[in-house]
Amino acid sequence: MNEQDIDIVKRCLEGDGNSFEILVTKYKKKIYNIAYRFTGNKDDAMDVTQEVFIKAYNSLNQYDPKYKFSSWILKITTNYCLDQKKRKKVETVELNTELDNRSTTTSAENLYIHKENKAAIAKAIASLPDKYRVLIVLYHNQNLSYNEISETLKLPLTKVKNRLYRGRKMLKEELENVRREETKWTAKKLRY
Amino acid sequence: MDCQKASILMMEYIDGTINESDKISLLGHIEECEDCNEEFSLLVESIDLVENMEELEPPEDMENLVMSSIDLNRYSIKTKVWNITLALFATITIMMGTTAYVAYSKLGFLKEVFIALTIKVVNFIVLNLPQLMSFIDGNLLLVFILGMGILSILMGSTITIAVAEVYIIKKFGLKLRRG
Repeated sequence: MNEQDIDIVKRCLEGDGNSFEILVTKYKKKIYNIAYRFTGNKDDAMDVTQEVFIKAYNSLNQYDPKYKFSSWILKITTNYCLDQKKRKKVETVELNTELDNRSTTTSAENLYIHKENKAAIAKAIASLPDKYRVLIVLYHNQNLSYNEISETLKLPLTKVKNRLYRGRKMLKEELENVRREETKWTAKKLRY
Repeated sequence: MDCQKASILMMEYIDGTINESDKISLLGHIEECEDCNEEFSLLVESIDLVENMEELEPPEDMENLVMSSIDLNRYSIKTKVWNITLALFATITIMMGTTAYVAYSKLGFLKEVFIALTIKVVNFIVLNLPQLMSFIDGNLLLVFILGMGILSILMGSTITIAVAEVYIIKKFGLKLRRG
């Protein structure tokens, strides 16, 4: 699989720019989803994905084949997301808005609970500090290994492990908080 | 087992790297300790929720959007030759500028400083040619601005040194005469 990526990169560098489309098709979903976890909305996620591919293409001659292409492009993605956030200082949009809208249309209770959970976890992830969120998303949502993350983020393995452990604990606490707030809110609503 | 050890083992459990005996003692501890039990179930639930988070489908025209925004000929031989020509042009401009300056300059004792600086710059350009090429990216105006920029920095620094030296010598010379 990775050899193929390298071959495509080589073809691009030899002047066949059209080959790059294969890489776009292969990685667009991964990048789009990571971008969505950072930006919190689909339009921004799309802009980020597009920008990442353009950046990757323009610096293709700096890609070191010693590393996996996926690690390289994910590094561009996470760097870009963190950079954008710093520059714009945009508050991450609460991800539960659109899920909530949809959940009101169904009456099936378990489906509702399921959606509530999804909204709560999205909210919990969004409130994590960037350096922990990036690890949670890459490891648990994008299924990258410790080694791949270490390569992608240029962090030593021990740091990856420690931050992930801490990130998980924080995530658990955030989820607890989100639920506590929601219970309070529902109780208030019921009283009136 | 203490709760701290249990906390570490919980992480290994989530990673799937826990060994059988640790797993048994962890689960045993969790049954007895209410705090750890709560922590464990919430932790596992959080991770489970993250892992099963819905994957979004990117827009279908993503390929078109990207492909229409990139320069498909960026890495073609033609572009490479053009970039090398421009990088060489920049180098030659600087070298010619230096030669002209050195030839007509009256500040003889500063020529060496200027030549040394120029050698450093040209050396930098030659060593970083690939990076410079991708930076220049076929942009003639950028080459011109860069070339002129470097040249004026070189000349500016030399002239500053010259003025400073003339000033110092003058002052020093006056004192000597008085003495």
